[in-house]
Amino acid sequence: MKLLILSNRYYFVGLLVVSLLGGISSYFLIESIINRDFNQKLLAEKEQLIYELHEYDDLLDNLYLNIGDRISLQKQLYDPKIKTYIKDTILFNFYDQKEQSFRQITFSDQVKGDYYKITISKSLLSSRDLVQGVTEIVSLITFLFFITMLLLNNAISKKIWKPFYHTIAIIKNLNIVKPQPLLFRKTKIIEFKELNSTIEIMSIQMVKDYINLKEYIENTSHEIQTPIAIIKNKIEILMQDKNLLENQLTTLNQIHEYAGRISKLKENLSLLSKIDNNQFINTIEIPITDYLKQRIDDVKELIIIKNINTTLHLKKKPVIKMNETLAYLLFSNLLSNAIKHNTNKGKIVIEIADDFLSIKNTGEPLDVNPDELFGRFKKSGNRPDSTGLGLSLVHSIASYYNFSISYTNKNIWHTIVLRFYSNSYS
Amino acid sequence: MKVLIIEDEPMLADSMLQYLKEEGYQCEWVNNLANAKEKSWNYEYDCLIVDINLPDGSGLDVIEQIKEMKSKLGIIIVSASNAVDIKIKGLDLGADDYITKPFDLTELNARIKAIIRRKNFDSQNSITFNEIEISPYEKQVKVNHVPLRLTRKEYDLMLYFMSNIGRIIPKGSIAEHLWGDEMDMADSFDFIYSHLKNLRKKIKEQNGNDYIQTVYGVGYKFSDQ
Repeated sequence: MKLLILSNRYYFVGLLVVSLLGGISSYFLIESIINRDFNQKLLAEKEQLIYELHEYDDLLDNLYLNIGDRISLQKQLYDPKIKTYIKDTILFNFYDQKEQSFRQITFSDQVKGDYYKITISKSLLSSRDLVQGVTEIVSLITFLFFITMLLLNNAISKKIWKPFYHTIAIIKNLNIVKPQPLLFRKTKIIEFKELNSTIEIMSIQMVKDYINLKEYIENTSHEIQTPIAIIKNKIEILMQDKNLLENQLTTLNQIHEYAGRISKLKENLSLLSKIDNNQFINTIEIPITDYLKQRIDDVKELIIIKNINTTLHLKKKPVIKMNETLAYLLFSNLLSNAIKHNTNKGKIVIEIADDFLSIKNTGEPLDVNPDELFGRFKKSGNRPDSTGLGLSLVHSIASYYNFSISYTNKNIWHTIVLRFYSNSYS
Repeated sequence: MKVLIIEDEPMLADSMLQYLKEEGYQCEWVNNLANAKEKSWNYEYDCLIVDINLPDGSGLDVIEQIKEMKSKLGIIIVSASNAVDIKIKGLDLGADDYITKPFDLTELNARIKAIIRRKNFDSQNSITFNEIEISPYEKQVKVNHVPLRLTRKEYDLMLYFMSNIGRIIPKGSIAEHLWGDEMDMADSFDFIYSHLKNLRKKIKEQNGNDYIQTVYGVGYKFSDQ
């Protein structure tokens, strides 16, 4: 969710609650002010009426007055003892020919010996209009306020966060393989200034670490190979000595073999680091089916010697963009894994579909945890010739290209499924 | 046959010199680019073994100079790096082969022989060892003048032995020669054994001697002694 949308959402909810509360309470407030005002008027009129009824005799003959306020006098046989009260009521308005709200005061009084129940009704028409008007104005102001807030917020956010988005764009474009100085836009906001300078320091450190690691890998792979070559060659020369005993020769051969293993181990570890360091950028389009057939051809001999029966289900021909070296490592390691851990007269079943490759092979049940199989130096059984890095290379390459890779073992069947998601098209 | 070794690491050069001299080559050694350029300018060699990383520059420079001279000599690049780009660049410049450290001397020897054979451009050029004759041009092995029907790997194996006559060759070296990096499995020794069994059988069928001696715990030796 974008920052702006989130802040807009909070603003919206906040403003909605406040304006609703404000609208409702202003409605009630205005109404109560008007009521109090009417009450005072009615009470004043009551006093006035009582005074006038007492003072002017002929007023009593004219029992009904309907000008402005409605005043009714009802003669009572005995003292009704009505305590003065004010209430809202609905009466028929002859002028408008409809029922309307009135504010009404009711009281009783004794005039010239008779008891009267007296009501004064005041039309609330004008005040209702007032309440409505005020409510409308309040609503309009709230609405305008609302819109202004949102627009302002958007405008301000866009302006304020601009350097932030710019910084993000720069970080996104940061290529550690070809580092370029980060050109942050100047900003007055202290937080963003700090952010930019922190990122700058971090990126400089990152590039430095990357170069260090790269150089370390390159140096070790270069410099270690020469001494290993010397060891191997010296042993080879020594081996030719005719006076050597059998066990001496065997020992020399073991040293020769293990010197070779150091070199291979070093090479594979360097490869893993290079993959993790994104040092294989160049890609070409690889037709998986044909490519895999070539790799099968490479190891055909091993398959024949081990009497392995291979079945290929190659219905589809997906094409994937990959680095050639990595593709080679990926597929040849998958294949050699399926051959290496196979039994004599075993089977390999390979299936290629649009979005996945599955390699199934027979073999001994696994004695390591399947989840750890792709880890470094995880070997099933004691195989001194295996570096234990083949499947971790496969895993590294798979995750480099966002492929998912899974391993399952059921009885004698071992299955590795490689799914090439977004990267594939046919 | 004259071979010039351009290698800055004396111990490595020493081993190469020792091994190749026993093979009957006249070997010379220089340890830097300047000397390499001078020597290859002044003298004629059949083969050049060039290390890429030299203290005073890249071994590729020597190759460039030699190609300008339009010399026919064979060039093998020795590099500590398995980087494809350097390999391609070297071969583009005119090198004939590329070998990565650490290499086996038997392998280097076999490659030098292959290059010299190719450079001499003699299709009749064949290697003979008693009743066995191998002609790399036709990729054919004859025993008592009868051609054998060999698989590619059996032929490769035969040529490798014939290039390193009388040498103890560790099984690991054979595996690497036949399969390169493909093979890092214990099975490879079984495969070698299986190929050897067939090869021996085919030679025997033509009344050839079994010169492939097993050196227990190490590998094999092709010898009539």
